Amino acid sequence: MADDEKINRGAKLQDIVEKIRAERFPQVSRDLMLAMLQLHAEADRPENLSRKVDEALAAADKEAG
Amino acid sequence: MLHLKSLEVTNFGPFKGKQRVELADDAGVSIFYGENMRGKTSLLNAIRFALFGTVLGRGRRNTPFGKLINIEAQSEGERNFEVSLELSHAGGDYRLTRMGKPIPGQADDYIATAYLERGGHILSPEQMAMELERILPKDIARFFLFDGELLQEYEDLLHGDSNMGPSISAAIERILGLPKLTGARDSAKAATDRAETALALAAQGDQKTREFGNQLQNLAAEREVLTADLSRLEQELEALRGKKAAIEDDMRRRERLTTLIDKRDRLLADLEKAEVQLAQSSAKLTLAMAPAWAALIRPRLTSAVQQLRLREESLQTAVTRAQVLHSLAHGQDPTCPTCLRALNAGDQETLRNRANEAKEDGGEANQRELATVRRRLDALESQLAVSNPEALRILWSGHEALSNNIYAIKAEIEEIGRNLLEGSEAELRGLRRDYDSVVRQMVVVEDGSAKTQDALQQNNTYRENIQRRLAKLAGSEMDKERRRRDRANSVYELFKAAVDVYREELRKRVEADASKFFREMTTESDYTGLSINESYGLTILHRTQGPIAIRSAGAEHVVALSLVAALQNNAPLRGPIFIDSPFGRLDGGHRKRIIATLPKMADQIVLLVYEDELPTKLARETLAGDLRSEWTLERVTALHTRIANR
Repeated sequence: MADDEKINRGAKLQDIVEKIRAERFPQVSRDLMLAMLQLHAEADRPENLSRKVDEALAAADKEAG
Repeated sequence: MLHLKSLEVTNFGPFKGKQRVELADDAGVSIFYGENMRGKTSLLNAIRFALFGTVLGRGRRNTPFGKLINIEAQSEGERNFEVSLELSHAGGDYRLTRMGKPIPGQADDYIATAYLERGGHILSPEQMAMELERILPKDIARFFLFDGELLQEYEDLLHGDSNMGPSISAAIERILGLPKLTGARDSAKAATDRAETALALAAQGDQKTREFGNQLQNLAAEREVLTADLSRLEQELEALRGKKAAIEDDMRRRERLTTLIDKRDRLLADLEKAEVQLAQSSAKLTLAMAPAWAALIRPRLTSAVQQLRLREESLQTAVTRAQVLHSLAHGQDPTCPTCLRALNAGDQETLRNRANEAKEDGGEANQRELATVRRRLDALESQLAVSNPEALRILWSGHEALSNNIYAIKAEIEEIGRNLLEGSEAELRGLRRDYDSVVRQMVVVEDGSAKTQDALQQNNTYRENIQRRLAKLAGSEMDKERRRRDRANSVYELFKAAVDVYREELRKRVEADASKFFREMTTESDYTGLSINESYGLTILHRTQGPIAIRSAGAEHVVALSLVAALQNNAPLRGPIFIDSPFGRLDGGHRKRIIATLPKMADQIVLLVYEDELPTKLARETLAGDLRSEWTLERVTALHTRIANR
């Protein structure tokens, strides 16, 4: 299978989450959703995950004012 | 994408000395040909050893490292063995080397050490562990390195009561990338809990809300304990499920042994019954044998009876005759019983004289003798009756049949005993005991888990109740924490919903792709595809009859290969597939179609086969331009195999 097809499949996961966010959870920002996905990408999961998640939530709080 | 560039083995298994295999950079299929006992499985294990530091023996048991060194090399003084892989992954070049060496002072116990180079630099052990987990996580290795035995396990996905099924389902979701979503969901849940604790603390800081804050904090503390308990119980349950699956697996492999033991137990019961019957038959024979001596004189008895019968007849005639004469000689107006002529006085006188003569001739003596003859006849005939050799023969024959049956049963029990290896029966009985014990423990843990879940549910209800009341009492610090909690909870709900939707999406994709591969691989045109269940178990669909409930081992392989191909097609992580003896249970038609489909399953396929399983000509014709390289595992000695390029 070509690599771009794999990228599409990866993108599809993000699309599914985005669709649910936009329809049912608009109070969650797209940036926060993407940050959560990025933090939980299997290969790049940080060691201090909890702190990074709290930071992403704090950043979202700040942005929301 | 992971690509294996080379494999180097030194004194590993049957591979004596240093031997190196370079694999093509281009996508395609490489084939290693080797007859039985030449080292195909060892080659697969060499890769497993290098990547994960484990080696699977028969029955999926880990093999001790001390057993991996080449025996010939060891006898010549070598002490260490080594496997080295050159890999490329995500644009990086890696060299992974793992070696086994004896623990000092314990020649039979080996230890394995490894190092990983990336771009020529050796990584620290922690970095190595992280990189290897990224390159190929061990729990999804089953989709890259497998044999027929492992393919057979996918059938467990169809059975709800199987313990292997959930762990395979988890591995499937892992390779499909679901942990990205489940991880985000679980992190958001943990963040919600933390935010709630912060909210409780904020509430404690305000006089109006202090009591609610205290209660919330207590409930949060309780929830923490309950969650930890639940997690521990789930881990325990998981471990028990694994143990149960391993015991079931072990018991399945010893199925023949189980059958033999059951058969022997049945035979022992039969033997007991037969011995009781034999004892009863012996008692009957003893009784029947008491007068058996009479059988020896039976011919003489028979002859005596015959003579006595003749004598009885002649005596009876004489006695009857005398009685008739007497009645004619002394009767009133007698008539001849033969000619019915009336007798006159002269005739009667003559008859009286004759009767007197007959009396003198012994008429009374005849009567006495007749009585004696009859008594003797009675005695002789009763003797003849008890000395019946035919009845005795029937009894003997039944007794002999019973004895022979007992010999046959004993011989069969003895034969089974020879087949039951020493200790194997005790081991099996031990396994059954362990199985029962694990099942009992599972019931207890499941019960504990259910109770803890109830308690958590109750805790949740109390918390929601307090939070509702707290929400009415505004405070700036509390508002901030409440917003954080609500946001974290929304993120949690978002990813929770996404997990469900994506899981369903994955199932549909796997079903569609597996069906496509299945149709390409099977020769049965009436099978239209595969249907997937909640656990990713696949069932064959017939054109008109729908799901096919039972399938053969060969069909199981085709379905399992379709699943592996579909997973590879949908996985974010792709890599080489190594298959050990994959065609043993497949007919020529299926074999050919599967070989033709292999290049579509993954970019790099390595087959470990024997010549009869995949003839060179068939492989070359079918794979044509997709065939990258061919190797032979050549016998040098029984303990030494050379890998030769064809």
